[in-house]
Amino acid sequence: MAKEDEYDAANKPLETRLMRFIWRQTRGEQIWLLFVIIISMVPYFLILNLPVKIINEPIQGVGFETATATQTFFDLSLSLPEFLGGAGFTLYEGMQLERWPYLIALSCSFLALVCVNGLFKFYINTYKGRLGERMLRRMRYNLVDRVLRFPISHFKRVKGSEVASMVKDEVEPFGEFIGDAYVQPVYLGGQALVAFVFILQQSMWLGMIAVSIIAVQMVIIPWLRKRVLELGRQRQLTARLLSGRIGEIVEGITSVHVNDTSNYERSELANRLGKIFFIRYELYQRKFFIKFLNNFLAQLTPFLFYVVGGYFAIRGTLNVGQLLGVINAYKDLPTPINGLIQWDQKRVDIDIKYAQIVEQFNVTGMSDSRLQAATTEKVEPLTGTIEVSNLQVTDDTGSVLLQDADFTLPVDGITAAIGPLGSGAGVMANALAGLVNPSAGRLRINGSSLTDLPQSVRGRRFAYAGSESYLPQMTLLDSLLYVNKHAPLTEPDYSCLIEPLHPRTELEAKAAGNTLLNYYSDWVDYDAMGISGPDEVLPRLRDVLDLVEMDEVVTGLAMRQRLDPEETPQLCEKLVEVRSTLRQRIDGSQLANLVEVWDRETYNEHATLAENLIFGTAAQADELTAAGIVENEYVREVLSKTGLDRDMFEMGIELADTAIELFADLSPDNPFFEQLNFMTPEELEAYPPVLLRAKEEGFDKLGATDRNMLLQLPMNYIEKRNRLKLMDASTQTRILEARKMLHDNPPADFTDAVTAYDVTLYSPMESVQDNILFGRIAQGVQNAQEQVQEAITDLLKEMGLEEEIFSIGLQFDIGTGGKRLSEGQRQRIILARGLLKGSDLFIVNRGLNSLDQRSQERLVKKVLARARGDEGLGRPFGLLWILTAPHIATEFDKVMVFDRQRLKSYDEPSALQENDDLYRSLVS
Amino acid sequence: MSKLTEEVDLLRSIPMFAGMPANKLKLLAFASDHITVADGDMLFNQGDDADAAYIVIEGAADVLVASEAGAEPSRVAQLGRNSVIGDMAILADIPRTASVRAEGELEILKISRDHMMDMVKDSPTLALAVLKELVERLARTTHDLSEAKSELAGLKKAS
Repeated sequence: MAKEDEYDAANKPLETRLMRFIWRQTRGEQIWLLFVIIISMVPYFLILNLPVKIINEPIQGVGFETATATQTFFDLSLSLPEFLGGAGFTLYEGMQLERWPYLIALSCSFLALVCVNGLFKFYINTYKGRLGERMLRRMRYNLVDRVLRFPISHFKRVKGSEVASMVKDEVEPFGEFIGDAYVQPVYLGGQALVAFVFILQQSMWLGMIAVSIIAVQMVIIPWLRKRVLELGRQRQLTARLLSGRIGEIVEGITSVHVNDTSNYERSELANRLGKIFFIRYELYQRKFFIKFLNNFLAQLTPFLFYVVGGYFAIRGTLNVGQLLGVINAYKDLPTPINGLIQWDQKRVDIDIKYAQIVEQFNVTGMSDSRLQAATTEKVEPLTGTIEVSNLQVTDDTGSVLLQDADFTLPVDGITAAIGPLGSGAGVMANALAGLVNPSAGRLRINGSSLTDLPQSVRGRRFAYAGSESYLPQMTLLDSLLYVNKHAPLTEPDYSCLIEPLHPRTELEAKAAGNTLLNYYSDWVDYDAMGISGPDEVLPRLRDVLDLVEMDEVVTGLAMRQRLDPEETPQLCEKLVEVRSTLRQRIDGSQLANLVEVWDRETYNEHATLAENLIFGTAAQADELTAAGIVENEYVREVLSKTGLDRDMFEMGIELADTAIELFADLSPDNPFFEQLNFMTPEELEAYPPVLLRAKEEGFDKLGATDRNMLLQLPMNYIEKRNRLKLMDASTQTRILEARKMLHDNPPADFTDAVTAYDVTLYSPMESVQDNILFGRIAQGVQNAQEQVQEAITDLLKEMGLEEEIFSIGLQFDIGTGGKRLSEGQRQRIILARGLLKGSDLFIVNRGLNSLDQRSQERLVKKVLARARGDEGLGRPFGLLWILTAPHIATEFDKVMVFDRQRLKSYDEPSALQENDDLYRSLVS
Repeated sequence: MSKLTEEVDLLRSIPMFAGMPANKLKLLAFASDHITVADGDMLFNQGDDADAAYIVIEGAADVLVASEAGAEPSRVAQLGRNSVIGDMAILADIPRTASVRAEGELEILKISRDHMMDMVKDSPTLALAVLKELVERLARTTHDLSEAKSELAGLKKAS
């Protein structure tokens, strides 16, 4: 039943009052904290009292008038107040101590009290901190939990970065406040009250003065603060909008560049920052005015005490001792009063911020948390038909996207939907997938409502592939398996962790109301993928990736990865074997023209000058950069001995000239810069003055920095690629000489930094492909890369390494939003995921629209064969495909034709062909 | 003379590029690949996605068209030095309408679709030149078509 309560709690809107929210969540802890604080007051009071006793008694000698006098130490007695009779109980009579031991005893108890006090403080602060952090965690979790349950349509209105900034930054100050929420006012109030009662006891009049000043403070200051709080709220709002706007600029950077709107953006930004500045400036002005007023009032009271108190003292109604006592007591008053005011301000401030945030997260139409309940049980396949009656969908402006749709769709049917963009076909698919809520009409499956299906049914028995191809950043493997991660299915496996989890991990999660579903379990539902366990994942993935024609891409990705021989020693060893087999094959075959392998005695025309010179790669993780090589003294020495430095200097001037001529007027993010292999856009800016000095002063006079800048340019030069005719046979011969010199008895720092090309070693600094080739692919040969990859793939297949290489490709990090893959590749991956899911109905909504028509046709046909179970591969499934290439509709069993937000006809393709003009015009 | 300069000269001799500033032409050449195609190798096949245009530097290329899918393609033209191949396909993102095969060793300059598009976006001169080239081709095709039509009509009358 506890589970039910949790769902109910999650479904309720968030508590809009922070104080109530805090009290509800942390009642027990707050009371305990209060109790501890009251207890802690005892040693606190004692420690205030003790110094007086130490000074008066053992030091000044009060009570030690005779040499043998003793004092009682540590007597514990309680006495009842007078009105209860004043009877006393003695718990412990104490020890009789002489003056010297008495001093030691009192000092030691002082030390002990210091420790006790400190420990109390330590305990209270840690307790408060933990309380706050737990609440912060709970709040963040609740907020994101709600984001996960927002209606999809709501996301049109919210910006990702704004939500992120609320969850991340804006709730942060709550954590600090929560610990103080209830304890602080009680504690400070108590302190103030004591001082106050004391003053009143001494003099009624002075007490009244203190009261009235404090009353003024308590009224005026919060009143002044109102505007400050309002400004604080504005500051928060504008800052949030700013972060949203910056997010938008980054996301839409291409449209800024293609439209030359950067200055508009600048001015917009300046305008925003200006607003924020004035809000903040006014805030500071008011804040410091309040501070000034506060201080003034605090100082005004003693003034009145002197005047009024002095008057009474002169008249003799108040004695001087009392006056001093009052002034003294008043000194202690402002601190707790100010503390109270501050606490109240903070409370109001945080309350406003809290209400602001909560408002954003109390969205109507959030899905019931029960619908998202995690279930580890197998969800029974869906069968039967989906009945759609009178379906209507409108967007948030009220314009109709689909109307009067009435049809039945067998879950296992093979159906296509066609129609122009905006005809309603896609909306129908989204309604079935639960991505839009119908504004009217009903969606039922076997008599019960489709919208009431828990997500565990909808999200597992349906698969969906839309045209939007955003993929969160993870490895390709995780991205493919993502769709089958519904619930933790195994005991957690912590072996991937470097440090063990904190022993209180689960307890704390519980205390903060977070989910207890274990992240470290295996979440992948292998059963749904039609396989029995993790061992069979690879063949299954290869199968679907082959179907979406991504297998070669994955192998290609693997080819560009780097492997560390220390992590995968066996594979690297095998790859060296592949290398030697490949070398045998290259000799005398067509491949010989496509690859130039490393040879100590010859210049590799398809490699850079640096690679030819150094004839090796970096030994450590840091790459050998052109600048690094030039700056190396040993290399410089060899270059000058062979006279190469003069040649390279001339080449550098030539290259800098060319680069400036071609690229100087391009913006740094122009795609043409990818072709500039010897310079970065940033470096380019530094070259014009260097070039000027170089031409003026020549090689011998030029400064070392300038000279190095020019010498590093030809390091990445490849004659075959750059075609500037800077490298002739004699230069090549000299580079070979230099190479020989470099490797002939080199100093230790050179051998440490460089690993020479060695046909028997796997190099961690080179890609898998370069390692297998042990050379470079020829530049300027038609399809060289493809042919070489094909040869390598064949060889890997022969040597039984195909799977291992494939799984390395799957480890490829697809980048933020999956941007390291092309859009077409992302759409293929999303289609492949849908197939992996083992669903009963696969809805594809213009899922391959960035592919060319022929590829779309091929893929649709392949998926159709799977859906029909033609090849005996896997379970047949239903398919609903909103086609972007309508002519393929003939391949489906039934076709829906949409036009102008309505379902026009719905029949078998042959029947439509005969009597439906719209269908004929779309399909032909 | 470096190969790059030769290529720039080659580009300048092509009407479409003739009006472009020298450094832009050089940039285009710099960013393009100088490729050698062996005798008999296909440059691309009919129906492939178009990702690049080519300019023949040296050698000859056969243009092959299959009238129906699966039919044996027949040679419809031979292109020599300075010919531009496949430029229209990259502008409109349509599949290749013909196959091209190297006849003897062929040296070409391969201009990728992205670079070409960037150039067109950047340079109104180039955009206009491309437009002009298109219109001229259209006029030629229309002319050919009307001639063919009248020939066909004449043939029909005769029979």
